[in-house]
Amino acid sequence: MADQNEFVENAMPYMDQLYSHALRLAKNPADAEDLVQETYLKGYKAFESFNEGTNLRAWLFRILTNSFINTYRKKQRSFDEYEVEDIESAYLSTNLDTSSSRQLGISAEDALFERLTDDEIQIAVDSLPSSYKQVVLLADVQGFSYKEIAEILEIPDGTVMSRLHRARAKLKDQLLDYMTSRRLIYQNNENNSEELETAGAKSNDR
Amino acid sequence: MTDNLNLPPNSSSGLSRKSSELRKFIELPPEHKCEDSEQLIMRVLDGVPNPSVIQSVRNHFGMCIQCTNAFEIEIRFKLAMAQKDTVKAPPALQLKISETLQRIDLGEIGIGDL
Repeated sequence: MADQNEFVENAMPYMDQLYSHALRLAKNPADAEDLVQETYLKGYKAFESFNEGTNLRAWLFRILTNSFINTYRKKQRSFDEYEVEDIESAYLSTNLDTSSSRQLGISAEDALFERLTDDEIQIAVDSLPSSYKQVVLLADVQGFSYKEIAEILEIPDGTVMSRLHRARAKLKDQLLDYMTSRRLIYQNNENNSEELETAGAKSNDR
Repeated sequence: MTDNLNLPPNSSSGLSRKSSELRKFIELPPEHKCEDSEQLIMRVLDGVPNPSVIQSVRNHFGMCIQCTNAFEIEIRFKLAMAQKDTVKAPPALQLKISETLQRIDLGEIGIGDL
């Protein structure tokens, strides 16, 4: 049993991380602020039932995630659950050799990530179905383990891994499309690495 | 909704245990097998990547271009995402939440009203 008086001291240091995550989910500062405030008030209220030794950070993220789903899912009809389920069923037949890795050599990947800005990555992440986006943000931005994410989102560990795998594949394809469309790289199935290095040299000359 | 979360404890010993388990997985068997790579990569990507484990995996894959490529794509994306800046919460929000919780502590707002 936790003492509610300890809540402020223990939970407030996570506010920046929670706000940052809320902003990425809700996409506007006003909604993000409401989400964070709701998270803290619910957390305070439920803190008596918080078991010491439990991961407080994950606990707060779970409250925030539930608040987001309950409040904003009703507003935003862009949740593509059916699409996610369809893609997950196809996951079993996938392997490591995604379309990106087939098309790109390692030097191409070096160039891809070195030239992408934070905004470009953000745009690609925002374009993901919400269920995928949440998993990517929790795993790659917040650094939660699969087990923690499974607890936060209340889904099986295997679903976390399959969503993450598919989300990363989609992101890589989207970022590749983004860079190709802006002529930051040339895409060709043959001699791709060589062309990309040439493009990189041109880009650096500008 | 927030009861009985049963989340894992947040401890640094978990990280070192994970590293040691991963290291065993990476080192045994010494011969690289491509069919094990997907599982290995997913394990390395679990949580916060450990630089020494990343290097061990690179060494483990050695000259296998396909597995090296697959791993580098995944780990570079993960590291790029991890470097994204955290947006700081507005000071006014911090103040508002602190004041609200303080008012509850002082009994000015009932916890049942939340």
